[in-house]
Amino acid sequence: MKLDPKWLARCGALAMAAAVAQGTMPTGAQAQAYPNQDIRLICAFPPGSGADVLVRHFAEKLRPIANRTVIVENKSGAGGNIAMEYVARAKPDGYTIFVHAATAVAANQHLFKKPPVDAAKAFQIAASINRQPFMLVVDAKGPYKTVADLTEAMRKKGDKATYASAAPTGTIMGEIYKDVTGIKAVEVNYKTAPDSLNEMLSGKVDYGMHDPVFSLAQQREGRLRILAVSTATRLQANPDMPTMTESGVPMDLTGWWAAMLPAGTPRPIIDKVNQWFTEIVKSEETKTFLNGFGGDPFINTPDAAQALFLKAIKDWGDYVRLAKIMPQG
Amino acid sequence: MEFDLLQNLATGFGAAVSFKNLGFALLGCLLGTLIGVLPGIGPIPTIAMLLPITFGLEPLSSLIMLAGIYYGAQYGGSTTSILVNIPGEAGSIVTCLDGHAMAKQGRAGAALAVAALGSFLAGCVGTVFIAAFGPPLAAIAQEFNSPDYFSLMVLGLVTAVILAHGSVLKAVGMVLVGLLLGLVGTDVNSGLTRYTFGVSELWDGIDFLPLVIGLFGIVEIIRNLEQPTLPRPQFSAKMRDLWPGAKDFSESWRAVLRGTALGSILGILPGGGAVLAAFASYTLEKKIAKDPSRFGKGAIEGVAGPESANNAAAQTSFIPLLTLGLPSNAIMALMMGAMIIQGIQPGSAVMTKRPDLFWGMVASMWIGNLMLLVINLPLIGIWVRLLSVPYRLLYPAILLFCVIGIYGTNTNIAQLVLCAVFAVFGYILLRFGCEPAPLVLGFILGPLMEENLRRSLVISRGDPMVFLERPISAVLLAATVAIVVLIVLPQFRRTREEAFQE
Amino acid sequence: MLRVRSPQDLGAGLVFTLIGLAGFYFGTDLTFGTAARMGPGFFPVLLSGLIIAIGLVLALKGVAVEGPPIEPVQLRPISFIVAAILIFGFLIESIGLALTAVLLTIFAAYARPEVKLRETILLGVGLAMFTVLVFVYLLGQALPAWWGR
Repeated sequence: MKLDPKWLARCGALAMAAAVAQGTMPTGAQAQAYPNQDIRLICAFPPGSGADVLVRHFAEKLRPIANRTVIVENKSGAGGNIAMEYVARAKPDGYTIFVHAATAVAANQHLFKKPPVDAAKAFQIAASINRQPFMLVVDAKGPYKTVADLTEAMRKKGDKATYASAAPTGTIMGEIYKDVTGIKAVEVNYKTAPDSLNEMLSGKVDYGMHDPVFSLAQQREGRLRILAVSTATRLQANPDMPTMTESGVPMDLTGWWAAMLPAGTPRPIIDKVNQWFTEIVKSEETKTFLNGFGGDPFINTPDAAQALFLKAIKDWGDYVRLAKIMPQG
Repeated sequence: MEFDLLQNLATGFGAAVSFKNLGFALLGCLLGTLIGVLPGIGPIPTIAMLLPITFGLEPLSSLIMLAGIYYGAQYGGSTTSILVNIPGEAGSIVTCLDGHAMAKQGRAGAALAVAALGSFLAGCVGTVFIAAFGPPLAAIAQEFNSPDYFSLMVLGLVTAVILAHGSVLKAVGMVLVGLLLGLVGTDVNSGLTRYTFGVSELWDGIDFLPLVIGLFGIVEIIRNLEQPTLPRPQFSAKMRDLWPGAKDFSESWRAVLRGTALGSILGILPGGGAVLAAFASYTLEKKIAKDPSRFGKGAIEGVAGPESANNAAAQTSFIPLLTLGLPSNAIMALMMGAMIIQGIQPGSAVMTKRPDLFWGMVASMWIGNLMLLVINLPLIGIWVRLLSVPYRLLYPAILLFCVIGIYGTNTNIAQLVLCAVFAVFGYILLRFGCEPAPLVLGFILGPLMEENLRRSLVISRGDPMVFLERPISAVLLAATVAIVVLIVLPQFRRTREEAFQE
Repeated sequence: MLRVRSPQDLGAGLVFTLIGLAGFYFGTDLTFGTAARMGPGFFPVLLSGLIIAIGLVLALKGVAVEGPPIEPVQLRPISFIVAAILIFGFLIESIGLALTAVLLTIFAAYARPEVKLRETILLGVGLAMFTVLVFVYLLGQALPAWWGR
């Protein structure tokens, strides 16, 4: 048989047409039998990062429950703004789910002069996932066993005291701590928490305000000691860690993750997504997983979660102002 | 300690050499090589793409497969650098310099073989390092504070100038421009954005991949298209000619050893250690060669050294992850993510609580390196033959893979726009005789240098003596001064000679 | 009239000077700080200054010292390759990988004057099938294969 190029091209075109017919269906059919398409979980951080690991965990668990292919799409950049913008503009058909810290979305409203979207209007929380604190850590070899020890020593050091922060939440926690106790520590910024480890261990930096994943890992390794957590109440995951509030520094900095949908998604779909995520979060495996990240499972109805979200947007405005963080952009 | 080491290795090999795990290692190596060899798709996109395949497996098997993917991607990336002059990651940029020159002279086989053999040797040494010296080496890395990193970066930047085989002035200019480009984005120390012009996609800085692919890959394609006749590969398909000759071996074995030493040490340092290794090796080889003018035109040491350094660093960069639980670069971060998904918390606990995992992984590193050698040497013939596809059919494929590699890592059109911008930029600069390699080094090391400089001064409350007080920093700075003197002296002599001739 | 002795050096000098000036102009609204307490604007301004200096020296050298000429610019290859990349970027989300792969191949092929359209389309279709199969189906990348997402 001759391999006539025209013939080959026609075959190729036919093959493509057949594939298209089997491919994704146009969105007219969205109302019936959700889900009938692939679901995409959007992650605002690059592949392999802590956030990515969490989103992938949920993607794995969601697959059998929703009985569809679930893909993780990484849209990293601008502190989550790129992903936020993308999801806010996505079709509200339940096939694009943003898995991110709702408190980070709330915080971004105030960290940037021109936030890309109005979060309160752009998103609908379908389900909350976990709640986690930030932690105050010190060198495990050091003398400080409680927050009170540290505060006393820092007061003596005056403006020679130094603390490490690698995220806005860390800065806020640090500022509240200084505000309440009156210590005059200088903040040193790092891109990521691990970058600060060497200097915390060599004594150049006195204490750090860091994320739970790093803090727990380093405490486990015996290098750092966690003195307190930033949530108002103790966590089930780590019930023997005192809170800053108990230690004399009242604060309630709780980060909580959620599955978010673009506003305008039909109610039945929101409820369905809530049902799925609640089921996943209730499982023992996920509970252990979340505990490993330093957080507790956090289950809410969509309405309750949305209310918390709106409150968070307000609260974080206050926090950012308190910490004197200059909005960017 | 000796006894323990052998015992541990025995445990490791026992775990790793099961049929199943050997199979996964092989699969990982193959997949990694096949994807990594696609131009424009370097180790990071390759690993990110293949990561999900490892999820369903049990921890040891998935780690073994992942390590196989990693090395396969590295080997595949080297192959692309040599054959098509498109680096997949920072460390491969130097391989392109002489490796591709060798390929154009019809010596692709020799280049690939030397790269493979050198990498294997380096991999073996690197594995031994991990096994025997893991924790003490990690302890050294922990000594590095901000001032030490600053001095290291300064040293690295200075070596960038030696790299260039053209005008030193232009090379310095390119390093500085690279530094400036590296500053685009959010400043760590103040939280403010610089040079972002309100574009959100630039907030985290310019992504590395579009920059490298634009400057190197796309420019390479454009330059080839400008020739009156498209490049015709001068490859001989005979196995005999694919193998390096005795002369090649004798010229390169020392470079391999030096590269291995450099890579093993630098790979442990977080943030740019592995990149520095390849560049430093190239610089070293060029500096101590009897005839440095051969470099850039197909000097085999310019392939043997950096490739060995690269692979040694690839191995030892596991050390901070496995012993301390700290990822030292983006690839290690991916590995860490993979481990966490498997329920393993990387750190010293892994060695004690799950020695089979730790030592199994170490053993599989060696096995993986061996497998890759075995796979790649025969494959050299195939890759070379693949290149004899007419260029007019090849280059659209290369372009497509580059674009998919960039877009797949970050599905944002801004990335492709950036790539196009850098392609044009690189084209213009090349027309004016400026090479891109120093720019890339400046781009990578510059921001780290600035960040650490300012942080050191914040911590020391403005006291600049901190750079000389810390021993590591002082030593590195002294080395920098020595190298600057070495660069400048010959320049003086040459200018005086030129002046005399006028 | 100045005789340009080394066009390449002059060109490089001009490019560097322009870059330095741009860096300077866009960097001055950042706080400079002091040497002991550097602000975000310290390095940008410092670097821009150095780059301008090198640019000027190179430009001078370009006028004074002999050097190689600039190879003529060919507009066709660079335009079509850049166009191919941008077309891919702008269209992939709307019409999917399969079609953009074909488009990219066609545009890339036209970078050379001696294009064979039929062969190019075949190549494009072949590449489209390969990449859709490998990247979208086998590797599950977040690239849309077709339109209508």
